[in-house]
Amino acid sequence: MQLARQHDTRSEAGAAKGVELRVDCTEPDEVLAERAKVDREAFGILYERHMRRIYNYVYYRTGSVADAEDLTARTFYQALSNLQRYRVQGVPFSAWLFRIAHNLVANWHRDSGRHRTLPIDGLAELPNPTDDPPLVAESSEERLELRRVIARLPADRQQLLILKFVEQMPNAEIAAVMGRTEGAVKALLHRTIESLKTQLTADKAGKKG
Amino acid sequence: MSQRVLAEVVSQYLEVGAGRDEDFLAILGGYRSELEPLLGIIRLLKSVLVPVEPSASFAAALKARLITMPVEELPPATPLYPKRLVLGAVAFGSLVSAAAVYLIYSRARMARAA
Repeated sequence: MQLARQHDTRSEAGAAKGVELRVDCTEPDEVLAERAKVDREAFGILYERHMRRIYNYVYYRTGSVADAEDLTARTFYQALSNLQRYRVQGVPFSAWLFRIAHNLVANWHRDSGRHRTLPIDGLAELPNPTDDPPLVAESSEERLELRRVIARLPADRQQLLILKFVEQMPNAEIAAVMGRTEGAVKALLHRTIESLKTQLTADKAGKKG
Repeated sequence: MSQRVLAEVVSQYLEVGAGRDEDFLAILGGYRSELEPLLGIIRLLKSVLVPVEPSASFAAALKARLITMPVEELPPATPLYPKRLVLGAVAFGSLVSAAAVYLIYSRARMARAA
């Protein structure tokens, strides 16, 4: 059984008021988010929980480690700035963070006019899950081709694929992040996979012809 | 199989059935020809879209900065939704309201005339 890590902290705000705050690492995000409004250590725990997911999302949307680090940092700075406005009754904390990251990525694309997404050049550096036998059969060429096709997809479909496959989110959480219904997410996922199948088949036929 | 049902099947496969292709296809055996190519694409997606790990030094430095950063150095709070989106929604709402008022007014006039 995993032991609950618990540590006492005295935040700047808490210390100023002479209040000792206890931060429980096992608490749900929404409880921690409330505490984080007056206690940076609580925000630190939220950061530990979500940083990798946000980094992955931004990395796949920008295709660059430097931009992923920059935008991940800006996502958390903005989250900290806007934390007082976060309401537990609204979207889940993770969805709220992803929306901040999504807006920053959208601004980044708009301001710079860059359309490069998915780190195609870094393909060789990415781990290849070769312990899964069906995956071994997929050639590097097929995977490269798929990356090219994904890079041509509209932004919302790229976002959906990253949330589903990289972040491995359930449809309900994706719906909260994208501001759609769960049914709309299912339908979009199906249309996206169908469209990838059609484009890959067409590309293959084009190469043969 | 209808598109709606197929969307539900793909969704279920991704949520609970991934890695158990044969079990899944056995249940929906009649639709093997429709499903197999889609499951192939899903397998390919899983091999391409894999999580990456940020550098440990970046992660530690950012955490330290977030915990110690003075409030004055934080970027100003910004609305979650872009200004253009909010303005667009307001404009659309106004148009709908104006159309509704016009509709009610013209119906009332027609009723009076009748």
